Amino acid sequence: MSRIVVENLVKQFGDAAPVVNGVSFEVEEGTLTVLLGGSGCGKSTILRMISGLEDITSGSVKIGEREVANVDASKRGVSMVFQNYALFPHLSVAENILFGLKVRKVPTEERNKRLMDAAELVGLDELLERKPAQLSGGQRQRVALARTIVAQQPVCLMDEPLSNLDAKLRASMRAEIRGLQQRLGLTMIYVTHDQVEAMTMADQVVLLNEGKVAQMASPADLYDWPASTYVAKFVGSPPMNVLKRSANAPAFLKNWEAGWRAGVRAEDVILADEGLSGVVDSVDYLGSETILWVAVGDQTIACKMPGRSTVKVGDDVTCAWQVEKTHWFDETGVRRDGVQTASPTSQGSVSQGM
Amino acid sequence: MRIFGNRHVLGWLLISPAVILLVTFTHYPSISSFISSLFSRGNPIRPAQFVGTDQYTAMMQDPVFWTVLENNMIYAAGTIPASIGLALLMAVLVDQMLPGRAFLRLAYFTPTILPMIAVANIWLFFYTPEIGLLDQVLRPLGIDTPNWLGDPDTALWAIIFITIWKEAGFFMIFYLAALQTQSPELKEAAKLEGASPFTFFWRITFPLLMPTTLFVLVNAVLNSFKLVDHIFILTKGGPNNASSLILYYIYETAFSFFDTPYAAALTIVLLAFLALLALIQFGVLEKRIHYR
Repeated sequence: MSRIVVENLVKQFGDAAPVVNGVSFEVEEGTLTVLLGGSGCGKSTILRMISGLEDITSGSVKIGEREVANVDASKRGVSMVFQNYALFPHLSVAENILFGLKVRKVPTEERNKRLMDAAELVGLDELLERKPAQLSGGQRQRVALARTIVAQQPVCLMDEPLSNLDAKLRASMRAEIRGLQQRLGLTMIYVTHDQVEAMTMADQVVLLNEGKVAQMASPADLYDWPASTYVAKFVGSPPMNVLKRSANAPAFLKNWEAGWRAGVRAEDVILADEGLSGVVDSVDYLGSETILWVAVGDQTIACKMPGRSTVKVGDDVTCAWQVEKTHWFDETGVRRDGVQTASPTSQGSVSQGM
Repeated sequence: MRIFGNRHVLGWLLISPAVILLVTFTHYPSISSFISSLFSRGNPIRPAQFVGTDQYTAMMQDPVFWTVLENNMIYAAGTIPASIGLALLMAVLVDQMLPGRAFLRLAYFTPTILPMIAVANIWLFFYTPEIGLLDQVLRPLGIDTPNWLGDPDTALWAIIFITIWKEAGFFMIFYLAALQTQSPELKEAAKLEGASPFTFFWRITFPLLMPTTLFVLVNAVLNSFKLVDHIFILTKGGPNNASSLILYYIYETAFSFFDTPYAAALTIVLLAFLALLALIQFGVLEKRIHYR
C-alpha cells in the first residue's frame, strides 16, 4: 500500500505569506503524478514536505493510509532523486548505489544482488568502479535512479531530475523514467516546471499557482479543459489565446457576455473571410508548422498553420474558429462552460458557447 | 616582437619573476647555508677553514640539539592533532544554522588576526605567578598551581596550549570554507537513506574534507617547526632549554652565540627534515585523497 494522500498542506516560513497554501491531492498506488508549476509556486516545497526533509506547518500527508507528518524522513518509505543528483563525489558508482543499503545494514549478499539488478536495469554494469566525476550527466542521472531502485521503497519522489540534461537526453530519460516507474510499479511524484515532461509522463498532473492547486487532471483534460485562464496560458505551446471582448466582437461568437474572456487554442484558429481582422505581426517557422502572431486591435492572436505558410509579416488576415472550440472564462478567470472547474462556485453554470 | 617568436624565450620570460624570487630568497640561501656549514667559525685572526662534516659530527654530540629536537617533537605531537581536531569541531559547529553564528565565527578567528607579539604578552600576563589570571582564578579554588612558564615540566605545555588556541581558529576558516562548498543535497540524500549525522560525518563529510586536512596538516607541521616569536616573549627557551625549539635554538646560535657555521648546519638538518615530512605527506596521503 503506497497510496499518497495530501490534505490541506500548508508551509509558512516565519510570518511571510505561506509558500504552500492548502494543497490537497491524491496519488493512486503505482501511478505517476506530476507537480507542475512555474518557479516559486511551491512544488518543490510540497515534495520536500512529503519526503520529510521539510517540516509541515499544517495539514496532513498519508502514505499508504499512515499519517507521516511526524515520522522521520528515513522511515516514510520514500526514496528521492535530487535535481543535482546528490551523488557522493568520493565514492564509486557502486558505493554510491549501495550507501543506503549499508546504512540500513542489508546483508552483503542481498546488497550485491540488488546492485547488479539495478545496474543492469539502468545500464550501468560497465561503470560501477568509476567516480561520479568520470560520468556524463546522463550517467550520473542513472546512478541516482539506481540508488532509488535498490532502496526498494514503494514511493519515489523526483525533484526536477532532468533539468540539468540537454534536450535530446531529456527526451530519452523521460521515456526511461516512465518505463521504470511502470515496470517496478512505483508510486511516483515528479516535480517539474517543464510542461512537456508533465504531458508526456504523467497519469495525473497537479498544476500549482502561488502555493495553491490551479487544476488537477489528466494531461489530456488539462489541455482540453483548462479550469482557468492561468491553466490555459500555462499549458500548450504557444499558450492558449485568451481574448477580451472588444468593440467589434465577431459575429460567430454570439453570446459573448460582457467581461468574459474567450479562449482558443492556436491550432484551432484558421484564416477565414469573416471573423477577427488584424495584421500579421510576426511569423515563427518551426518546420512542421508555422505560428502567425496576428495583432487584432490591442490583442495578439497566435495561429498555428501546418507546414510552411505563405503569409508574410504585414499581411492583413482574418482569424476565425469553430464556435465550439471556444473556452469561456468569466471575469475572475474561472472556466464557465462546463466540467473540470477548480472553483466549486462555477459548477453547473450555463454552458455558454457550447 | 621578433624576440617573442621563440617559444622558449617567451616561456623563460614568463616564469622569470617567480624564478628570481625563489632563487634569491629560497634556493641561494639554502645552498649558501649548506656551504657555510662545511666551514669552521672564522674570526679576524683565524679565517674560516674547510672542516667537512665536523659541524654535523659536533651536532650529534650536542646535548642541547637533542633536547630541542625532542621538545619540538613533543610540541608537534601536542599541537598538530589537537589544533586540527579543534578546528574541525569548531567549523562543523559554526557551519550550522545557529543564531549569532557570524559572531561565533569571528570569535573563533580572533586569535589568528591578533599580532603574535601582542598575543604572547597577553598570555604572559595569564601565566604570571601570583598576579596572573590563571593563578587569580585557580588559587582561590584551592588548586596549587606551578610557576607555569618557570617550571621545566610545564613551560613547553604552556606554549603548546597557546599555539592550539591560536592555530585552531585559523585552520577552522579553511574547514569552514570547504564545508560550505558541500551541497546540502548530499546531507538530505543521506538523511533519506537513514544515515545518522555521525555516519554522515565519517562516511561523507570527513572524506570530502581530506584535501583541506592535508593542506592544514602541512601548514601545521611547518608552523610547529617555525615557532620563534612566542618563545621570545614568554620563556626565551628556558628554563634550562625546557621550552626551546629548533628554530629558536638556531636563532640563538646564530645571533646570540654568533656561531653561524653551526647555525647553518642546524638549518640544513631542519630543512632536510621538513622536506622529508613534506614528501611523506604529499606522496603517501595524496593518493588516498579525493579531489573534486
